[in-house]
Amino acid sequence: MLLKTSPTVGLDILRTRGGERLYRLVLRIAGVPTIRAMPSKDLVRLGAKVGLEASELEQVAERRPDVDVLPDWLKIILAFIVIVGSFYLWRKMTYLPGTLYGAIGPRDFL
Amino acid sequence: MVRPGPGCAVWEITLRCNLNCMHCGSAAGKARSDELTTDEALQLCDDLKGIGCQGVAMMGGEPLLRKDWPSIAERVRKVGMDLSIITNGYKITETKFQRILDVNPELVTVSIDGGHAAVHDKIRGVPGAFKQVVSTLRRFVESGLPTGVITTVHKMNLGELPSIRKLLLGTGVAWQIQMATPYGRLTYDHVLSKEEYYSLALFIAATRKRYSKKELMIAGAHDMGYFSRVLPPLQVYPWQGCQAGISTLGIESNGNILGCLALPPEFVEGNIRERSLKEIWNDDAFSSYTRRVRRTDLGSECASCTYSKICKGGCSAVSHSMGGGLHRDPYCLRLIEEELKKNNS
Repeated sequence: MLLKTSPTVGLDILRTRGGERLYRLVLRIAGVPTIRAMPSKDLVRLGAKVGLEASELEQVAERRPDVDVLPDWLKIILAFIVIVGSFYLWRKMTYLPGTLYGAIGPRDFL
Repeated sequence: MVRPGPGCAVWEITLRCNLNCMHCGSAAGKARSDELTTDEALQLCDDLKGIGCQGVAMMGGEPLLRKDWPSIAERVRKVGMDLSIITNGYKITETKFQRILDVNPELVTVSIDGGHAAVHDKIRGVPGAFKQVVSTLRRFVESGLPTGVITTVHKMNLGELPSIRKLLLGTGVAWQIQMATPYGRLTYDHVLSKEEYYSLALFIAATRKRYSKKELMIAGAHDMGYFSRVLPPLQVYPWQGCQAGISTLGIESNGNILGCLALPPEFVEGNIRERSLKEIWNDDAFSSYTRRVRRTDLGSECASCTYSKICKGGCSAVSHSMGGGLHRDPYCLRLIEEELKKNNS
């Protein structure tokens, strides 16, 4: 299970907790290829309902890293991040997802 | 092994409310006839600390309508728990405002559901509510209190998001966006369709991309996810499954205890007048639907998902109300993306 899920989960942890810059740097160093997961016409149609322009949507629905072809060394690092991240989140119970119901504040973004 | 306490107890200290919101999950209005007395509420603060609870989100109804709310808030702080107050921002008198400042909560949150008075007031059921909540928000921000805004989204205000964003830009508030579920007063015909839900996710993601945290902090709540193939994470922390009864706890104003306050009455699993909070929380049977999820509990689509063991079928409240059972949340970005893909092929 860990091997199957850790690439995506690890990248999510890296991105949300490590920051966008670090996330992009790691992907660049690893030379991870990207894939587009949704046709633009769907994005434009769905984005229009909330006033989003096509250019904004292009930026959001970016090409995602292809987690099926990550280098082994990165997979190991990401598995490590998932294990450590899970332990850290378990210890820091106040801010596990779900507890944030009604309580997301500025400090959660630090 | 002692079970860790909840990170946050979401506590409806009264069901009384001075607004009449169309999406209110608890159909708040009148106080319950059997709400906890002051002594019981203060004892509950101690008991929450006793089970290792780290924080309390005080809400209602409108929590500031309960006369003894400052005593409860002070006790929460005194025993060493974090305090957040969720208010509708309506009729916050100078006295109340000063009491909030005195209590000095870690967070004060107001609910804004429209970027224009016409929409917000219609949703909230009282003319003038928008003007007052904007004024309250401004006072909180100017006073330097850490401030949050909650927007609960349904069909009537999906198109309002850009206007609300404009209102909040540069204020330094944290903006929490959540989907309205058909509990309490909200009827099914107002619930977002799955595609509208995806539009909402796009909005959160686009806003995060476009604005720095200094300009606007925005995040999806517990019901916005999960494991999208297209969008970056929408929540503050990666999703690890519904936390009802694990790291969160719901308390109704009469002492009823349930895993999460977003869930309907049939999920009440005890009352502190009958059993101690410690006994309820440490009961093996409590919140077994999240504490011990088996693969066979998952809906077929969730069971076949790569992330089933982490996600466990999404938000219990959305899953129960919209998916016909637990652990089969149909409002899942990954699932919707697959459906869109099928429709295109």
